[in-house]
Amino acid sequence: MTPMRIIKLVLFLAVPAAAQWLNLPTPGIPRTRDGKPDLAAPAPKTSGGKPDFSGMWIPRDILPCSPTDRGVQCTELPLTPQLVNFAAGVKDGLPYQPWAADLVKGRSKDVAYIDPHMRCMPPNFPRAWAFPETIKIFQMPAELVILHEFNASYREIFSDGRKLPEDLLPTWNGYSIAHWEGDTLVVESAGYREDSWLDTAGNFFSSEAHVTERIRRPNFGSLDIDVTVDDPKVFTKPWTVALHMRPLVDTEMIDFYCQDNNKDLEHLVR
Amino acid sequence: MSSRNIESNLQKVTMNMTATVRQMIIAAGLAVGGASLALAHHSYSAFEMAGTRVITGTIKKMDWTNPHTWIWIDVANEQGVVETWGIEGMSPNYLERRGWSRNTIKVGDKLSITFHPLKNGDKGGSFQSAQRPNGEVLGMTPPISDK
Repeated sequence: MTPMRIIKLVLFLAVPAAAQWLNLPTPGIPRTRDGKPDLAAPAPKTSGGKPDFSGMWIPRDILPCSPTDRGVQCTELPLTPQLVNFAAGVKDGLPYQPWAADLVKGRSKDVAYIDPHMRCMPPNFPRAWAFPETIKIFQMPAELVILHEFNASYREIFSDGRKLPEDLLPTWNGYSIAHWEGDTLVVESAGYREDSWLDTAGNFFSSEAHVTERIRRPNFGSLDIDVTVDDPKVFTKPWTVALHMRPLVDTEMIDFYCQDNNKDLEHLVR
Repeated sequence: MSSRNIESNLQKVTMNMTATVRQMIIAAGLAVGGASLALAHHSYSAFEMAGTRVITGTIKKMDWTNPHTWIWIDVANEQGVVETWGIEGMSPNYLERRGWSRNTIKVGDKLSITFHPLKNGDKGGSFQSAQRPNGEVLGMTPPISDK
């Protein structure tokens, strides 16, 4: 083989390898014989014996491509039930105070225009659990960090024993602490902004909200989150919704800066 | 055209090809197919979702940007005057995971694009599928599977 042929061969072999940066196999995960992730395998454990939630996740449940089910015009984009109605699965819907029910009803015709998300504002948890963009969890003994592709944002959950501080600065994600109850991580959050949207329907909670997320990983392929919202300013009683995530492997996080080249605002119509 | 039809067409196109080429074409089809529509950050109220239109022309520019990719394509109108249309597609993170790259559609490529037109009559719309002159269909992608 001539040197030029060797160079060409090396180049030929190098191109596919370089093109596969996004598809590098995720190390250390259980796989079936055909190389796919073994979703039924036991959940990984930390050195402390707790379930390890680390990894990339996306919502498990996808609505069929039907405008009736989605409540929005149909596209091929995978949408979860809670993205279009965070109360999906909540019996009798959200228990709003009358003024809050009127507010949601009154803005229903304008949601496509006034939803903060339409203007590329942060997704904010717990709403972000239902977004189609990927999240990535890093679990450490004293803190859980969640990266979110949308606007390349982050969320911190402190599990070092601290209490929820008083007089918190209102933020999109609130301030989160956590403790373990068996194999369940119980996350408590407060300090939200006023009128925190929960979905594309305009459901919301207020700055008075206390949100509890009970997170479990029953096996490798499941992350279950029960979100309970206690907000006496907006609701007549606390309510809980169940969300389910599935792992995303052999890929990486990719920037999604929503305001990079957003040409949609001029097309939003009332 | 439904995604099922496009998948079927894709299978027909690839039926007689070698396995390697077939994989490449399928990857490209899934990739481009992902350009269906925008992410959830805006609604589709701006588009005529009940109807589609087809235009054929030459790629002028490809914006590989967030929150949407944009295909700018030069199309001759009925009077023969060339006009530029802007077709909105899925975001790079969505497309990259389905095999697309920023070079999947290049300047100068000839394409026929099926899209949902803008309601306001502007020269633009929301990408549904595309076809190259050699018959390669760049169709809608099925709902997210492994990635």
